[in-house]
Amino acid sequence: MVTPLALADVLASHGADGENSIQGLRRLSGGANMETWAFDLVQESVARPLILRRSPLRPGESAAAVSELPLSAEAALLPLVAEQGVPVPTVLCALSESDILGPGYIMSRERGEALPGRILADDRYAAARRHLAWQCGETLARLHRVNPEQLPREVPNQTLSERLDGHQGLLDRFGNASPVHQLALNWLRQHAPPQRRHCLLHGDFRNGNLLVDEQGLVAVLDWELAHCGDPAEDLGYLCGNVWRFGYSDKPVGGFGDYDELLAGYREVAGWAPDMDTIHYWEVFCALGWGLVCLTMVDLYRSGADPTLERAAVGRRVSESEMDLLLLLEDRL
Amino acid sequence: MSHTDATELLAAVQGFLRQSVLPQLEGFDAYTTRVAANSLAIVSREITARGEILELDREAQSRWLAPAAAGSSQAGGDHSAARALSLALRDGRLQASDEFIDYLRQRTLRQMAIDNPRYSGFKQARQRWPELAAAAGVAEPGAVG
Repeated sequence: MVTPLALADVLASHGADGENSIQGLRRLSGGANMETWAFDLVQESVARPLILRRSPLRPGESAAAVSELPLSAEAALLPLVAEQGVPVPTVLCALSESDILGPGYIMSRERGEALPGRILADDRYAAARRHLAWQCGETLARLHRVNPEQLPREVPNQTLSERLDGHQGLLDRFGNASPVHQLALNWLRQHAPPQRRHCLLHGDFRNGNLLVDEQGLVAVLDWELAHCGDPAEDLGYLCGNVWRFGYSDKPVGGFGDYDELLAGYREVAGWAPDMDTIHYWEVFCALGWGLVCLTMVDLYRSGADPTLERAAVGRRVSESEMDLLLLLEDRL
Repeated sequence: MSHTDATELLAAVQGFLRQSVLPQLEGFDAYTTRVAANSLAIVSREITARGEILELDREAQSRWLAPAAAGSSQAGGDHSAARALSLALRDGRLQASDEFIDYLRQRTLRQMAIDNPRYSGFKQARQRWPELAAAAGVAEPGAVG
């Protein structure tokens, strides 16, 4: 149980000296894969806003369908991307499995908004929306510069062909109930773009995992799907229709246009992917979303995580099917 | 006067959740309560529309798979026709013709109408394929079908 007392104990054992109290503890909504808690650490009447990120599953219970990084590796990754100028929270301490609330880690709580509905609709973010696609491009180019040799060994590093084999394995495991998913996977196999570059990817870089204020991007959150692959994947993923949250006419996260994203990327990287390659990764993203939904069903059915959230996400499979049929029109 | 229908009970529970419970909650519990009410709405829509999707799948199975393949689908159950078609696609025994793609579009339009009729892709698809949407009974109001 995440309680103020347990948090105070954990922080004391990781070197938070003297009298400290935990205030304002609350679970934040919006994360189906992970528990995220907000609280303030108050020491000598100074409040420090913090976040606890921990896995609700016991080790070994994860369905491993979507390869999630162990939280220890996620905590190790953040400083590496920060060095490249990617805005991320500061990690305070990593909690191992033997810690009371572990595995997980505690980090700084940055000010900003992460709820897509507000970022896309509130007037206060109108100026931010104008820069956000460009900033996302620039930020992605920075994170793609991390030296792969410095990465934690748990960061998955597969070829595209291996990942497509993995996707087929998941479709088989989940009962092959969707001809649309199979059609899309066949298409992805037949249309794989040439693999020229291979680098660290965020893997879940989208509206919802971006902390935004009135000026624009404040921090990039939720690194548990980081892996190595084609840099165009992160750009195409950000444009997936499911992550436009209803604003389909703004392909970049529901807030921007392709040109802005690619210009921001080019500014830092010196090159940018072409639109056919972006489209390929949008297809990949839509199939991936379907597999995430099916994984949630599996977690629910197996009893590993019998929460309503998991069961309900299982009914979003048809969103991925709809998007795939729209994306593949005239391309089959 | 008959007893309460299943869909009426579901509507009553949704009303209770949204009007009585939700105003007392905030944060994660409020979010989960909205998910709960939405889930009941899905069940209500499915009660009326599910049989049509299964029928569409069975028709597709008998149209595009040889009788032997159609009979060999494993496990049985509700998804057996869709599964047989998926496996045929996977193993290269079925090539997706234009008519087959139209079946998939119509099937997905129907499923989307149950799962989340507010999804942006559903609106786009109904605009792009109005005849299929009309055939699936999910045409946009005012659309020419």
